[in-house]
Amino acid sequence: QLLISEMASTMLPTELWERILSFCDHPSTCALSKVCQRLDAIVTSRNERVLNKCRSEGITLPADAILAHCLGNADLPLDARLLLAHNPFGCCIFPSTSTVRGFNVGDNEGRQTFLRNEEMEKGTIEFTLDYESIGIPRWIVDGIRPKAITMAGSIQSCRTSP
Amino acid sequence: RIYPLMRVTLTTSDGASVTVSRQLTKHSGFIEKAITDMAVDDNAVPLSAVAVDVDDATLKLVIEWLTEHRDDALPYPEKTDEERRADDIPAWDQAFVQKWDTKEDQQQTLYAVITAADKLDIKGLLDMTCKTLANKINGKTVEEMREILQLECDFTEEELAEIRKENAWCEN
Repeated sequence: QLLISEMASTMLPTELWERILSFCDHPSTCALSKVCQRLDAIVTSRNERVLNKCRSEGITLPADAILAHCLGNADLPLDARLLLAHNPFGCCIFPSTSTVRGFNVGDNEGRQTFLRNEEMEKGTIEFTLDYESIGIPRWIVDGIRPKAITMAGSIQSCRTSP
Repeated sequence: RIYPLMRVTLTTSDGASVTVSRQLTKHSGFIEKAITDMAVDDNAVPLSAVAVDVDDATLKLVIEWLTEHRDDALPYPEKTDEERRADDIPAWDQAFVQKWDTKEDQQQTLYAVITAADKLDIKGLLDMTCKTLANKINGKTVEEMREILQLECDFTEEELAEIRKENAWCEN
């Protein structure tokens, strides 16, 4: 028999933590995932379940690179569970989210060039999208910029290889 | 049909017995199921014998909450994740929980009531206590959360370095 004085947060089962998380804001949920391994696993599992539900219901999601980046950063207000009811993009933003591996960052008034990895061997196919005109907020573009620079480097090496 | 005058005796895991009105227990899915499905004798529900580990002190708090909420509508209106919010706790409930803040084991009391509400299937109490804990967490730093939840950081140095690396660009 457990006494109240012996109760600890570690004794709360995963289902209860998930209910508690449903009342937490996005930055706090992100911060919770950095508290300890168990909470990290619960938050990650919850995000993945919401994303899978989005996919099964045919909701258009941002590319995995953007999602992974946003879900790991408390400062970015993109909440996985909100994607289900309030998909902020409302349209297909990539030719194929599963094949986009990286993109160049160009300074052409907010327009970015995407590269499809599957086409690398035959030559690069480039897509130019105007983020802001299709409702993607500026902070997302800023948020993925470091990753983009890294990817742009590897893409450059693909281009120059024989 | 619920008969408000009917009495139900609950026996806690530490052997105490409490007799309450059926008007209160109707909010507990578990107790209602025990009475209607499990054919308990004389409306006596031994909580410990049916895998619900609720002690006397916790049950008293649960009954206090049930007494205040005895006229709440049933079934409890479940909300989707998108509809949930933590800032709509009624004033009486806020005062009810704040009383625990003077107790040395106030955080443990909260965990105990959350667990009891879950086991006894009292959704209104479960949501209220989960919101209370969420409100304690919301807006806090990772270190503050560890202190509130009394949790140790068990990430390896490599994992911590990875977390710092992932966040370095936005924290600078």
